[in-house]
Amino acid sequence: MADRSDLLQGTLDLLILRTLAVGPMHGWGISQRIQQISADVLRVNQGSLYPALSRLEQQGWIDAEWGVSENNRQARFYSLTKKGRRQLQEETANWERFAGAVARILEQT
Amino acid sequence: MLRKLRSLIRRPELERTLDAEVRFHIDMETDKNVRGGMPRDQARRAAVAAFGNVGGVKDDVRDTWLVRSVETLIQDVRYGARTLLKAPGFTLVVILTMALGIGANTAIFSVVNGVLLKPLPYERGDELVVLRQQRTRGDADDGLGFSPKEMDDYRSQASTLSGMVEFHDMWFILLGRPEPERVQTGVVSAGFFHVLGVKPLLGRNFRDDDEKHGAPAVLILSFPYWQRSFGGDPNIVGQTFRMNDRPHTVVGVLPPIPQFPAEMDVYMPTSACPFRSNPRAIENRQFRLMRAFARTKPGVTPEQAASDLTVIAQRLKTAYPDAYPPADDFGVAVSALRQQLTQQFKPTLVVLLATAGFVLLIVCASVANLLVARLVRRNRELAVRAALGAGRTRLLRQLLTESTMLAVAGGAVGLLFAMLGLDLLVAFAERFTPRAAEITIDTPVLLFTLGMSVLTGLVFGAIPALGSRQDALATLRDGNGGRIASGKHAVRATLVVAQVAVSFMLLIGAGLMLRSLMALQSINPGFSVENILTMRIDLNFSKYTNQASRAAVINRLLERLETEPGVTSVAASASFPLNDDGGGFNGSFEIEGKPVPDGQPRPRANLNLASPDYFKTIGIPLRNGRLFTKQDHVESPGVVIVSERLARRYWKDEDPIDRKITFNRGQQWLTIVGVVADARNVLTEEAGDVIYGPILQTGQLSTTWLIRTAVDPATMTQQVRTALREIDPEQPVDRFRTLEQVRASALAPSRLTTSLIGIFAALALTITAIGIGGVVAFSVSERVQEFGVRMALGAQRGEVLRMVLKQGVGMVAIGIALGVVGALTLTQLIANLLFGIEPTDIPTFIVVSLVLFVVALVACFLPARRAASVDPLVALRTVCVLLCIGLGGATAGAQTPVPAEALEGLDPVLLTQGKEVAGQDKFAVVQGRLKYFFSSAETKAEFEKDPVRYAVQLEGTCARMGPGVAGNPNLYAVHDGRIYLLGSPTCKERFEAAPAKYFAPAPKALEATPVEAKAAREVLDRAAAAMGGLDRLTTYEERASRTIPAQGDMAEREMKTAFAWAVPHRLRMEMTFPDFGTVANVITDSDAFTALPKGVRSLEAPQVRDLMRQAFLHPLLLVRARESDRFRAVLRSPNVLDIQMLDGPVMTMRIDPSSGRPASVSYRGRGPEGDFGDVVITFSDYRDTGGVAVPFRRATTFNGEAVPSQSVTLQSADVDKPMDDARFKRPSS
Repeated sequence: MADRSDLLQGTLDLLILRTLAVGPMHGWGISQRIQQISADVLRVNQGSLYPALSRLEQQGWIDAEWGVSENNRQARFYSLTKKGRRQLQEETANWERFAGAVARILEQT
Repeated sequence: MLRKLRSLIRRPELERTLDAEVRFHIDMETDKNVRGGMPRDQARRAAVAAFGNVGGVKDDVRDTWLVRSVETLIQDVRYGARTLLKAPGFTLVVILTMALGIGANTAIFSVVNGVLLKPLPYERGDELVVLRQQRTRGDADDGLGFSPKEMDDYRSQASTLSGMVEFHDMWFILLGRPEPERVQTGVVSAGFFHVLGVKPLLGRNFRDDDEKHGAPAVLILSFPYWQRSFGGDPNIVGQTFRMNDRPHTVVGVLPPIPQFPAEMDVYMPTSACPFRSNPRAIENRQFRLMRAFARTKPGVTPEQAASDLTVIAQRLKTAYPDAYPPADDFGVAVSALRQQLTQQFKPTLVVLLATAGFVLLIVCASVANLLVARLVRRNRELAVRAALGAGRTRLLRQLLTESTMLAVAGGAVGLLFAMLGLDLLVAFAERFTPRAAEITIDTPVLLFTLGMSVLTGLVFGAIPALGSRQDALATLRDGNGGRIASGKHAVRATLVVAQVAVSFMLLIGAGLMLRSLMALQSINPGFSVENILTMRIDLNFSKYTNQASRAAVINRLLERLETEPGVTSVAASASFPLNDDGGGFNGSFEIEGKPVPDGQPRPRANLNLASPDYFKTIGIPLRNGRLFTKQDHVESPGVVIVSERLARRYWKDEDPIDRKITFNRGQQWLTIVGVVADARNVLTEEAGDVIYGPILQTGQLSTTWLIRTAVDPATMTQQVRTALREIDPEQPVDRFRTLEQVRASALAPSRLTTSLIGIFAALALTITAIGIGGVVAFSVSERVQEFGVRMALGAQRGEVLRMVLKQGVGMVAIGIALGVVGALTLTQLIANLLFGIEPTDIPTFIVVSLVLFVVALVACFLPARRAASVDPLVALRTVCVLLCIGLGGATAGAQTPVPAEALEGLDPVLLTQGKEVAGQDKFAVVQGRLKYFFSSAETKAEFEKDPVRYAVQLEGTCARMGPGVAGNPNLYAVHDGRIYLLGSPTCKERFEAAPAKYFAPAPKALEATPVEAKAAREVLDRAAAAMGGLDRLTTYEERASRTIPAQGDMAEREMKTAFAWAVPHRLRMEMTFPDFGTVANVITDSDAFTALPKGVRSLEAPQVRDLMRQAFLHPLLLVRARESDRFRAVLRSPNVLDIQMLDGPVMTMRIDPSSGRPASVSYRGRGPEGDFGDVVITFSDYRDTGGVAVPFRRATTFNGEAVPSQSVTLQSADVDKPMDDARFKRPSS
């Protein structure tokens, strides 16, 4: 079986946006959260998480700010921008269309 | 975007943020792990491991920053500039090569662009067409003009044309200026420039009124004439000049435009030409004097226009059968003006463009080759960068950045070259096309150059870069470029073969053109060109209005000139051979008694008019009858002279004298009075049929003159002009040229094309020679190890040189073979540019092959000689041998006992202080095999005080490869204040990059207490016993083969070795190379020599020491040597011993505890690349051989990597077999 953590880039972007929709969060938290909600099926490779965060920030979909973490450390918190929220809706719709199509194909075979 | 721009400025902040963020992540992960029960430090390690490659992730993040891509580019460019500047020679050669290639193409493209690609500088120039009437029957396809009647008919009936105008050329005589001036005049319809879409630069266009009968005469000046004769006077419009007998007013000046069919001085409307406006001419449907230009209606092709006009032609033929005899089958042809302007130039231009393209191909191949070589040398650098984290794409981008920088720099210099050559090219193009003036370096040309530079940069950058798929780790591990190099070498050899093939084709092209030019120059035109001045006198038609007055003035001019000192004879004629009017008129005639039935083509001939002395002056001999005399005048009966060829054609063996011919269907019969020899009108064509009429009988307006002089004809011009002015001061005389010049200008297009192609071919040859030399030099430096071994073993230098040359010759031979095939196809394309020679001309092919071969050989020879540092005499002799293949074998390079001049003549004492000062012959010192030069008596004294300190170290052996390889006396490096020699440029480069690793670790004397020594001795004694009692051994001999890895262009090979040992002190080590023969190194108590197939030479001390150390790696010898007083051993643990032999490195021997025999030996020693590292030799496969256990397998590793070339598998071994003493004796040469 191929590496489970090898997420498609678009999927990772979607997951990050989805995670941040709940509220601002730092990078480590995002990786933990994605792992959690996907019940350990998706393991986010840090090798792709931080570049993805930087990319999303460059695109203006997320914003980053320094804050204090739950254990009193300086951490960089990411939050969704307005543009990011729109993007999330669009990507979610896309994803559902895609996932729906895959599901239908799987059901038929 | 704004964010991106901001991030560009905030780079340091971004970095800090990234660091902090990564640190935070790892801290959090660590905490989590600690919570999971791990100890803190393990938790942290696990966190870091989970994160992965921190540097890599950071780099990926940085890649998303905009600042990054800009930075990368700047970095690449700066790094590129630095590396390129570090190798100025390489950079210069590449830039110059590129500049030549791009310059040649830019120059030719600027011509193509100006002449073929640019739109005509007329409005919607593609709609302009040239019309021509044709008589297509028989051989009379002569492109007739139109008569005024026909112009009117076509103009009014054509539905596909939006305008149709006429043109014919005339001359007028402009008076009122210091000299009467002949003015070349285009007589045109009033709408001429309107139809062409040309607006005057000054003044106005012609109007319809200007063309009305009796309208005041007006002129429009051409731009060049305005510049030339009036200095560009801005007030020229409105000025009036007398031309012939009428005043003419300037109404306009044309812009600089190409003029077709020829450059005119002035233009005037048809009404101002006395001939064209003559009512009889206007009424005569066969007065076909005018050329017709037209503009097609939008969207109409020339073909559609042609079919439209053909319908009209049919109508006219029916309506006027007299004017269009059915025998002549009249038709109309239409061709685009654009095509007419350039059709003469196109074939030459296409050939030149292809030639330049080939040159660029060669340039690309050559530069790609240089880059491949450089890349191999840079392998380590690239591998280090890869190991430090540069991705493959990043490296590729770096390489492409560099090659593009080179190409663009080359392009810039090339542009400069093109600009310098532009004037020359314009002058060249002028001989073929009126559009030459449009050739400039403009924006499209600049874009072309830039595009071509970038493209070639990417192409030649990509060839080597893509070829470099290789494991960076492997490169680092074995520190060896050689393994990759064999693949690279194939690429390089292919490139060179391609270069040779293309150069061959270009050289063939140039050779054929040259031979063709030589053939042209050696043509005998049938007359003599020496000492003849020619000139043109177009008589004033308004003054000399009839035959009689014209004949009279010609006669007066003749008589006046004949009396002139220096003049031998004078002649007037209508034309003369080689004149650029194409030989004057061509007309049809009939012969008395041989009527031509209607519908059959009548005989045709070139017509010329000649004064009595014409034939004598130009040197055409009389064959039969008589020449013209002054008695053949206007009143006397009509006579003609015919050429020999014509006489033979129509009268065969009969006598043509007194026969009669007519040009006007019998209205007037002319009697043939003489036959003269043939003369060529055009150099490249056989002489045609010619009929000469007496000019003093017929009169003639437009005359050419020939003056045979006793002095240099070029000096007579002014004298002739003054003499003629006495007869008629208002009569201009011009076009003074010697007949030599006329002939030269007839050859000029051919000569210019030949020189251009020749220049390109020479360029190609030079670049190819450099390419071949480069490849050979490179492969020599690659194979220096092999050569070093061979030469150390006594190979004659000539032999090594021959091997090197063979490689170059091989490439050239393949290249030539391919070139022959290519040339046989491609030369068909230039067949129509050739004269008197076949495109497959065998002598050309042979000579070109030889030239290319010799040049290539010299190109190979230079680097080969340098690398092998061979006596030039020996090398030259070798070249001769190769040249006379088949005679060879007689000359083996002799060993010269003369000491070699060392260190490029630099003072060694100063060199150790880091100063490069040339020494002088008078302060020279010979030491060993080297001769040193000193700059002063002081440094010489200093040297003599301590030669060991200042002379080359390591006894002149290669500091990188060790004693086995001789150093090149002129390849040196200074390290730590001492001078070392190196065997090859590669060695020098590697050594200088990191000298320290090529020095043996200082040998530490192995100290052993008696107890330790005794313990060691016991273990060794047991080993000797375990090996079957080595001490009884009297002789030992083994035979093996080993693999020599591929090197340079040499494939992997087997080398057979034999090792003979007459215990205790005599050794013979034999090597048999498959392509070289057997070499034996023999060392005995009293002698040490190398025996070669061709002779013997002594071994020098360092070589003997090196060989002995090699021999003592054999476990049999090593164990047996324990009794020697130069053997020390210490026992380290029960089965591990340290051994030192002959003050060499300390070796660690491991004993196999189960068998008690040596299992391995390890020590610090040289690897295959010359640097020091851990060498381990493992002994295995012990077999009982005559009671002695011999390890049949001895495998060597260097720093853990297998070294196949130093690993041995025995084929057989013998013990205690009597050995012939002769094997250890020096053969008597």
